[in-house]
Amino acid sequence: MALLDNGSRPSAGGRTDGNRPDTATVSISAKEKAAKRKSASPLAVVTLILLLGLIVAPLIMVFYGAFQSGAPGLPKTTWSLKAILSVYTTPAYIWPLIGTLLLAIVTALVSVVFGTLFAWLIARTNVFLRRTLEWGIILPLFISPFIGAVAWNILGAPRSGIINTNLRWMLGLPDNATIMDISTLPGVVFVMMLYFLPYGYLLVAASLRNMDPGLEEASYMNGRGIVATALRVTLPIMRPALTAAFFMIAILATGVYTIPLALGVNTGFTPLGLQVYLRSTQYPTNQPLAAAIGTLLFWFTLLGIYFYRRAIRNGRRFVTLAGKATRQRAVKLGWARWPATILVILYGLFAAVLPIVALVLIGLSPHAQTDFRNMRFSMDSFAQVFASADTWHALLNTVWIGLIAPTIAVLLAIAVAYVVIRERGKLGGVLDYLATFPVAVPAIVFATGMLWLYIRTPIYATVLTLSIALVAGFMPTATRFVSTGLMQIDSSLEEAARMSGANRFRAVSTITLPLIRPALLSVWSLLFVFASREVNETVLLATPNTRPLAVLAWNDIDANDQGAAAVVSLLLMVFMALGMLLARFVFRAPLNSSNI
Amino acid sequence: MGTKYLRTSAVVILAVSAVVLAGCSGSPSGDTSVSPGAYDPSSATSTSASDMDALVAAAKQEGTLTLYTDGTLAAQQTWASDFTTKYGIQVQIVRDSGGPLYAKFSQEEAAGQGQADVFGNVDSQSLDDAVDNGWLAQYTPVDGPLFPEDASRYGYYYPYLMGSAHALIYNPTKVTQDELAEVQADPVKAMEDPRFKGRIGICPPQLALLAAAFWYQYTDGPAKDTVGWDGLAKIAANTQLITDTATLEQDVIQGEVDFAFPVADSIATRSLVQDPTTPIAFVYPTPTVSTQFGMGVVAKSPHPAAARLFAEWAASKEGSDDIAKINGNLSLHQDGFDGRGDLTSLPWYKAYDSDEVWNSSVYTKDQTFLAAAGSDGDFDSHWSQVFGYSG
Repeated sequence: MALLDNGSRPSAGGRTDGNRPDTATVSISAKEKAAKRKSASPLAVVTLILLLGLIVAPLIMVFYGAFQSGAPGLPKTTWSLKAILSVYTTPAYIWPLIGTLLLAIVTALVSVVFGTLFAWLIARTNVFLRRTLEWGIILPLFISPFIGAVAWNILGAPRSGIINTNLRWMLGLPDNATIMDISTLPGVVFVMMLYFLPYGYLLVAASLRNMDPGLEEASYMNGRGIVATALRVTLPIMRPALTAAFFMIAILATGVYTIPLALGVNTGFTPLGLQVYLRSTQYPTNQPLAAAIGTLLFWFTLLGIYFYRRAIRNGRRFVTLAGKATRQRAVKLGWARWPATILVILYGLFAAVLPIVALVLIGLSPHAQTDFRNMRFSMDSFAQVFASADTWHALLNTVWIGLIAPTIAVLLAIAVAYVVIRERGKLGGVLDYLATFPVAVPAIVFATGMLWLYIRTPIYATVLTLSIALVAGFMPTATRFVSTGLMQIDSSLEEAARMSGANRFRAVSTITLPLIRPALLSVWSLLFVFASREVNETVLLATPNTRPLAVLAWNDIDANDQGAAAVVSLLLMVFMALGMLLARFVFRAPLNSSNI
Repeated sequence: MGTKYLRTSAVVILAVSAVVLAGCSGSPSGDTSVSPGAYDPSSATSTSASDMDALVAAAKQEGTLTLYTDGTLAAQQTWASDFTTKYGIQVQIVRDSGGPLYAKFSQEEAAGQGQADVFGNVDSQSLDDAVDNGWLAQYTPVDGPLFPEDASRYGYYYPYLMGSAHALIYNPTKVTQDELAEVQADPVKAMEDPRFKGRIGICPPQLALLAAAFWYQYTDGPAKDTVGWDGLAKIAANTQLITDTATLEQDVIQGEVDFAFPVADSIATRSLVQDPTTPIAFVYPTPTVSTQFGMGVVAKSPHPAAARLFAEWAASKEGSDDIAKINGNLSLHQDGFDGRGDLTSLPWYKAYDSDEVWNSSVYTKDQTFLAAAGSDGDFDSHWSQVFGYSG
């Protein structure tokens, strides 16, 4: 999520400092320009300090923890190389590492392939119900992947899953017939694909929108068919976006542990992200080992982020050259129109509809009964959840976290984007990289560092700790949205205000911010959803007074109260839906695929 | 006008919702009109009636407490709710498995950021470590001495919650009479039989020291000649899934697996007491392991009076009988109640042989076992290798 690169700076008309009008800068010599670039504004320095505290300090704590004999701060903990040597010099972690990387790569590949196909179908073809289908593809973003995995465990468990149990008697199959088994590695890939596909879709759809359809039109005019045009024109042009989507999903998938854990894939290979979690939480807990495994993961995700940034840079360079003059023609799918529509509908069914139905059924079933013939219904789980003070406490915490984390993230992203795009001082590059950095750190690793960093501070056991952790994780997304909005606003508007006597703050607050308001509202709304559904980081940091609904659902699963977990999950979805409706219809946040 | 009205309404709704939620979820202040009187928070006991009155008044003024426990969540919630009904003091419950719960507790206490008022754990080793580090307060409830000494550390923690032995649980609707006979004869050995392939759920030794002690008995302990590592390999070949005990219970009820072990008997008894139609039954292996869930007041408890009052109630016959009824097991209180009720008359029920049980008061002092099962030992890795388990 690089904001800028050398080849694609906007408004590059000789300006070196957003504070100065063009006329004042043209006469500055190259040497003076270089000197100017070195000076950092107070805003840049403050932003840098904040990012260092938010992002670098927890990471340092993880590395520090990896060199300890126990959890940092415990009475008998000393310096030790044992954990690091165990991870880096023994073969024990080679196969889990290879397995983790393969799992991430396969998940990313499948997600990008289907995300690209769906983006092409929606953007370029005459598939039925385009707007509805697009919402069906984006909808899974609003479901916590962990909750989706729990639901899929209920649906696809090999012997007792809703699908197997009921299809057996419906189709007259033997009692031991297994139609699907979600607790396998392909099952994990399938569920991960369901919840990562929207990321691939959004990145590729954005690239398709920015692409000049005239290029494809020319191909058709020259007699190329749909497939040949897609393979020889569309795909090569979208290659940077595809690469970016691939690496982004691969990086995210590397650190995911909630999905394999919820699906109960415990035999055989265990992903390293899950190992970090298990070493932190299973007997005998070994937090230095968890931290050391986290550092091992970190190097590989760092490599991924290098390729990701490179792909983004190439994508921007291409978009700059593109035009949009040609009318976009919808490709006629012919006989494939219905199958294509059904394929996208099936995705929405698997990713959103079936999981929600499963949660409702389990919430209503006293023993989590999955056989429709024996199902009894009761409102006990609903009554239990709604009568519990913990639920309302968790809901309140979710409200606070949903308000605080996106707000701070967006404010900080404005500062980063402003320094990088408008000021373009030397610190800009550092800030740009730092803001992208959290993508490379698996959430569970980051949360471990956050816990060790903040446990001795007064803000521990407050929603602020959880919010800070989320802000750090949200920085790449927030900065990308805000910078994209900011790049579309020419700095001459601010400069005109300043020429008229307004100070910088007034110019920004009265001109720039109102103009990028749609982008700010979009990203705030999206981060509100992410903050509400987040479990990967918050589960380690939450305390009884600060746990949000998503963590409460996790705790219920951990305590094997599936009914309560299902009801809490449904409550969380309703909360997120209400939040989005509020954002969409009251605050008029533009929420469609082009804005998200 | 319309949009402005909508936005203003939205802001008002948000603000009102936050206030209402705060009202619903906030800690109750209790009866603030009651004076704390002469309550001494450093007192190691509350023996006299006036001490108890002062304790109740101070606890009500604090209004809330946080209980860290590894007991079954639903059971703890019901028990805590009964305490709340009696004293009007809310109880927040943090539930996790024994190992991670102690890891969280110890980190918070070491950092001076303690959240827990009362701490409970199935592993007496963790409780002893907490005492040694000064994290548990010296407090003796009036009825404390009525609990067995070998399951307590008098003055610090007592087994208020329950005693529990590990069993093999099964779904009676999925098992034939022939299979049941084999399982009841020798539950662990029976799991080596290939006819149970793909029908077994396993709780790994990594979950808690108690689970490690169970497996250790069959590989290196008294049953090593009947099962041993070779027998374990046969069980591993039949194993369908490996997970925690609470999930295993659910998997047996749902029919995902037909058998699961080792699982605390209290998990099954609680379900059967709550709903006798639950499709679950259990049999005790010989030998097996048992433990008591110890509980103590936290030294730097944020709500010291409420914590001590909870300990008093938990130790009392009333509190002890209450949890025994909820869990469907035998109270460890000297005058305690047998909550098993009709369970003991069920045709499949058979009590365990108390001479063939390795209790936590013994295995937590067995240095050979502790060395093997600790983070420096090789027991877990050997077990994982046999089961192909990398969690």
